[in-house]
Amino acid sequence: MSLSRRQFVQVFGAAAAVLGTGALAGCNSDPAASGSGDASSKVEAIKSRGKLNCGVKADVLGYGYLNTETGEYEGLEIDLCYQIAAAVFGVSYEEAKEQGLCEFTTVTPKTRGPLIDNDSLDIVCATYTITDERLEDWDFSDPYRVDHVGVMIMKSSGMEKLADLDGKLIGVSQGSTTKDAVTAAVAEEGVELTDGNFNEYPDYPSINSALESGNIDAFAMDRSTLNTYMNDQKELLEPEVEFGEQEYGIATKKGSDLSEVVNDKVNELLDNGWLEEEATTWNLL
Amino acid sequence: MEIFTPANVSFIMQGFLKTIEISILAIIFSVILGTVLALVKQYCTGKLSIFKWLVSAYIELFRCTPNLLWILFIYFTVKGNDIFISVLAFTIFTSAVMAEIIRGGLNSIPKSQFEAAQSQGFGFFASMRLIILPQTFKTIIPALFSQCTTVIKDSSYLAGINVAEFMFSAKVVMGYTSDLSQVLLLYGFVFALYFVLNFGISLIVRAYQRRVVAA
Amino acid sequence: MLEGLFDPRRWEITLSSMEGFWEGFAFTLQVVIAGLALSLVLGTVLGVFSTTRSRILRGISRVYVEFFQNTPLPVQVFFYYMAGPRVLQAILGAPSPVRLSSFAIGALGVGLYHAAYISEVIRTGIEAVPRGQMEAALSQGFTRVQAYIYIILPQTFKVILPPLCNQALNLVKNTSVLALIAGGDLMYNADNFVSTYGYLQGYIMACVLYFIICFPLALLVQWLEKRSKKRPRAKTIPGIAPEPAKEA
Repeated sequence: MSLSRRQFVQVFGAAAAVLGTGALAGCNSDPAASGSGDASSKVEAIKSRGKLNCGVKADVLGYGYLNTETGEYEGLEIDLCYQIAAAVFGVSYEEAKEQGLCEFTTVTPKTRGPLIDNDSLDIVCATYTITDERLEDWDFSDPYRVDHVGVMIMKSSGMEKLADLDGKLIGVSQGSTTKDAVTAAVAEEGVELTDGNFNEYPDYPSINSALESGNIDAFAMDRSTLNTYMNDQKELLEPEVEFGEQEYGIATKKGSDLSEVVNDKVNELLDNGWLEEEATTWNLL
Repeated sequence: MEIFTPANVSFIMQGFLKTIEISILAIIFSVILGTVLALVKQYCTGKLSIFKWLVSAYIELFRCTPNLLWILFIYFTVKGNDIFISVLAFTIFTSAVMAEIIRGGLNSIPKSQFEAAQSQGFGFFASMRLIILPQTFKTIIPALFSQCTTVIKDSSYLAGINVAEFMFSAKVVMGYTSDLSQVLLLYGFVFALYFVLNFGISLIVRAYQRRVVAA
Repeated sequence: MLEGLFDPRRWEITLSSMEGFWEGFAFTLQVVIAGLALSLVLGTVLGVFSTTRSRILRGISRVYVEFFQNTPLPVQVFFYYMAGPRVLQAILGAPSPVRLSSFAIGALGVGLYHAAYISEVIRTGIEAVPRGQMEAALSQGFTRVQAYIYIILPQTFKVILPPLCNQALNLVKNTSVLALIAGGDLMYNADNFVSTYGYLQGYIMACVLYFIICFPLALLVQWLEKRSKKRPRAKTIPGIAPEPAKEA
């Protein structure tokens, strides 16, 4: 059983609290949430906990990928998390990796923001695009990678250019910025897409299966993600047209002292060329 | 491409174990919380009836809204690992159902049992614990177990929040293949395992009922 | 997170983007009505099957009920969604996968699933009617089908109405499974809203809207249960306490 006795008590305590205080207030009363006083200093809280809680992708080859054979996360973003952990705990990158100072949790576009809000995660490093709206709710580091949106289709579909998406059904991920990027790019070709052209799914495997099964005509997402699902029956629609620039940043809770630490580290890694090296290591160029 | 590789199968089976683990824990907690709720709704009268109303509101709220909604809500508001979150979410809405089942059981116990217990000097809690509740649980075992089946089945809603339970693991593996026959085979496998588990439970219940009827 | 629930700015944005919720609400209602109709018809047929003397019909009903009651609805719905189009393509020989609308998948999904439960409800109801009723009907020249329609099934109403309404309630809740396959229902729209803005207000609104549909049903179940317990007494004094009109 992966529930410790403490968690057993927590489940029951939280459930009982719901009973006592009404459903909504109850959700707030996770005993672990109170008492740690982490509102004052995020960095101190992480230090005393001894682990950095990181939200990462599990299904983006080269960025954040959960290897089902080893059960380990791997990719550029995973290494980046260890770099951040090294900065927070004041150890070297190698030490951070060796001591396993990061606790990884799989996130999806939909779950990224809320999990920072409720303090489940300290940082989210998960192909998270910086946008103006998101900057209102969370802090972002400077971008550590730039990617573009791609549109994946079945070769058998006979589509050749972006304008062919007219009247087609496109699968995108919930809570991502892809929908707007595709709409804008296709609009430049003189074709208008509406909300009715998009289906939003909770996770990537679902979108991929929907494409394979013929429920949707195209799977639009960052190219890094599409890469995971590419095979010889699928192709990118007009890969030479680059649109929907996606600047990935590391997200942290708004106004926390952690944000500065993270941003300094990212800039340091950009300056000393580590990020570029990593991109080569993971074949991202 | 062949998807029933050892790595994939063990990945899916880990999901299956997680489904079972979550279900068992959720059921245990729901029975405990459900009993408390049922007792409050049944016996908190007079000055204490405010609690009775609170419990009724709780039960109606969770009875009238989809489980998926609460799974998502808990996921976004409570922190913890995926098992903790799943068990908490399931406990919260399953206990509402359990409370109604247990109350049904309490109602079926003749009043005379209560009076007899009191005449023998048992207090409220003692008579509950030693006399009323054991009989109650005996009568509601079939309903209790059919609720277990419901929990096991509904745990597949957790695939919506990326908990790597059975359904989600199968979905991930399904992403590796485009071959229709492999996809169908995989669905067959998923259906078969859920079926064996749930049908097994219902066979046990039937055997139990037969024994009770025979006795 | 929860302090965000009291943020007036977030509430303002939520309340000004309610069109999606209402669309989803209307869609969910449509799926509920179609699903309910399907499950009632199919459930009644299967329920009657399970009480006939024909072994084959009983077998069909048994297998159907066991399969649908013992496998999860989300898996069934995923199956229709992911395998359906290509299976249909193979069957119909169409040039490209035959897409099923999410309305069809929703109605089919909850309809077939709840038909299994309704079939059990009907079966219990029929078994509660004394056997002599069927024999009496046959002796009066009714065919078996007529006997079921005019004599047996009407008598089961009292017993089956509460559990039937309960099934309707569960059916409403279960339509939320469509959110997992981008089905456009209320849950899907609420979930998309929360995903886009990260505001939990979306779930609260969905909660309220589901409650609006389900709570009257829950009250109906309670009322029917009370009524079904009361009725025998009323019957013993005909003329004095006239039977209430049938509402359902």
